[in-house]
Amino acid sequence: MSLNKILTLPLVSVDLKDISDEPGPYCMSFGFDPDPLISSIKSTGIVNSPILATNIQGNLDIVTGYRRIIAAKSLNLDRLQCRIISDSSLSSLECLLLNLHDNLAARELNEMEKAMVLSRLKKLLPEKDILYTYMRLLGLPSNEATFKRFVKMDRELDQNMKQLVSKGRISFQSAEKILDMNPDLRNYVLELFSLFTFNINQQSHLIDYMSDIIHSRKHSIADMTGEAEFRQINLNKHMNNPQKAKAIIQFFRDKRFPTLVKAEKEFKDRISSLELFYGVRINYPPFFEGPFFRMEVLFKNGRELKKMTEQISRLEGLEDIVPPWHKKDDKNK
Amino acid sequence: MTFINKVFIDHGSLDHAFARNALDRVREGFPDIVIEKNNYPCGLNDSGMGKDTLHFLPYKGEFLKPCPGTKEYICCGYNILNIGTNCPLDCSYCILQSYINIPNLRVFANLEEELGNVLNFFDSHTDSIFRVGTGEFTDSLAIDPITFCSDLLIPEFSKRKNVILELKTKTININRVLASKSRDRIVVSWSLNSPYISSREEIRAPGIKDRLEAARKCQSEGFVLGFHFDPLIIHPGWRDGYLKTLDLMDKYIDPKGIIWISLGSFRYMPALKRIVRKRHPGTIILDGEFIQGLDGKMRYFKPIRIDIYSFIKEHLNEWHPNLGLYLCMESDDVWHESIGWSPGNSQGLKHYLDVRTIELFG
Repeated sequence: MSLNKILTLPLVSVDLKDISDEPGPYCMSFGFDPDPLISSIKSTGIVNSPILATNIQGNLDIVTGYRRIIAAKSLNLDRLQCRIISDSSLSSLECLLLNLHDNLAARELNEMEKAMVLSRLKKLLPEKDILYTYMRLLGLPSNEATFKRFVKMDRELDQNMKQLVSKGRISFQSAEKILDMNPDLRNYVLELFSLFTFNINQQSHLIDYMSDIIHSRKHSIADMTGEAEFRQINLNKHMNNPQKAKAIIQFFRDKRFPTLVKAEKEFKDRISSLELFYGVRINYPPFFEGPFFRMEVLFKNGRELKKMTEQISRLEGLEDIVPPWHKKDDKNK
Repeated sequence: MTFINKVFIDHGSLDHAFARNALDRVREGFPDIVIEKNNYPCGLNDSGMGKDTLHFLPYKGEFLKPCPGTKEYICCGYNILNIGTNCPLDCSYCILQSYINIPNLRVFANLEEELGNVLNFFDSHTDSIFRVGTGEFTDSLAIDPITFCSDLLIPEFSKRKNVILELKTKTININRVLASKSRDRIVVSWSLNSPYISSREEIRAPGIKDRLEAARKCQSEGFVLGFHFDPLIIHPGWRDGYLKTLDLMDKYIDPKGIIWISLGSFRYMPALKRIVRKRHPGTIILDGEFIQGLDGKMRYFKPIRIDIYSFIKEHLNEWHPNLGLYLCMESDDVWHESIGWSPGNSQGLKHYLDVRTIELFG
């Protein structure tokens, strides 16, 4: 049955109680905010009627319009005008594709929804067809590795994690890393994510630090979280949530990179002791890996620059600017 | 040879005597082995890299390539002779785990024919010294008992005054090397580590003592030796661990017959980490303080690298002052702080090793 034919089917008033709240086999809406749609239905009603299919058991599966139906239920509507096709008139693949194109025409799917689509298509189509046609349609690179990653995420993430990913609270990459964790660590990380507001970068760092620390067996979760320093971050009333998140990241970074953190601190202490004046900053290269330090000078004109460089050259202790693992008097290095 | 349980043969491979002879040896050694022609799975799977499967194919790419190195660090100007890819050993730190996207122990069936072009290239550049190795994308000797690659390469390289062939290995498969009549311009090298790393992380590889016994045998039969402490890995008791290996070297090897010893700390492309965690869940190699280097690879924080190089250098110097010690992919300041001098740049390091070559081989 073509779409044109479906649209000629008569509209039928369906009792919303007869339609399940679950997305069923064809729908791929996940983790969406129904409020904008509820407002729209309140003001203008439902413009495009949902399409339903009777399945072998005689129940109704939603082919298109899942979000509209959920919104209508939230508005306590009793009945909705729908088009109903019989199970035999469209194949599962056709129903799935109808839903996919219906969604893609209206919005961009989130990462979890894309994972749902690919996971379902995998059961119905050869992999090469999915790679060639549908990965592109979803705006994903057409390669096997990406395809497998998405299918794995749909298969292995629990509902809670899927919600967090679809709402953008956890990045897709972070969710993948969390999947690799042992269950204890996974639960602990998710608890931290629910308590504190980490941005995507911070999430990634936190996951890396904690995974590495646990793998190295140098500290257990209980040891670390039992430390007074960690508990104080949590209890500190003078820090807001993002500040606490930052302090937590730093806490785990200190554990993961003790030598690097010590070097950074020593360098900063040495620079502070120089008492540089306003407009002059000295920084170390990333991770001290490159050979050059960097000095920034703010100046209004050449005369001021000349004056400042003369003042800088007269500062005591400039010779102490050496990599922090050198002793202060190690000036020949 | 117990590690091979399957053989794949690509179309055209058996047109080459090198592959036909190797296949005969496989049949002789493993009468029940499964041999499949032109019809087999060829994708990598999650569990393995085809380390038990020998795969003959005609290689269409370049057989000789300069080592890509990196412009951000000092490199040695090495050349890679590409005889095959992948390795039956399964070292947890192996870069090939993320580098190779085609499975199996690939043996290039057309090596003998293509070797002519490679040798012609050397012969047309007699004013340059080429240090050439086969141990970059595979272990030089791991499947030598099957391929007899040494029989093919050693006599040809030995004839030429401007080329050094380095056979780099962790194995003790030296029979074909020893069977050769040629010694000139051939370096047999072993990759070494602490016994702790060797037993825990270098899966399927012979222990350090066995490697050094093989090295001694080669040395006593007139071969020049090389050693590579790469990757150096920080681990519990690493100082004592590496000293144990240095003690064994002292026991088995005459330092005067060593052309070079390289030191390189563990470094890896970020993508390797996840693969290592999956393939080697108990590994300790990722426990150190790794930062992103100037070339994008993860490497130990600089003072940690300096510490481990300085330690090894100090003890090697006590053993013998002239071992051709050099650092692999390190910066000028790390050279100075750990070794006490620096070649300044990649050209300088190449010159240093070329001079070393002339010292040992004339």
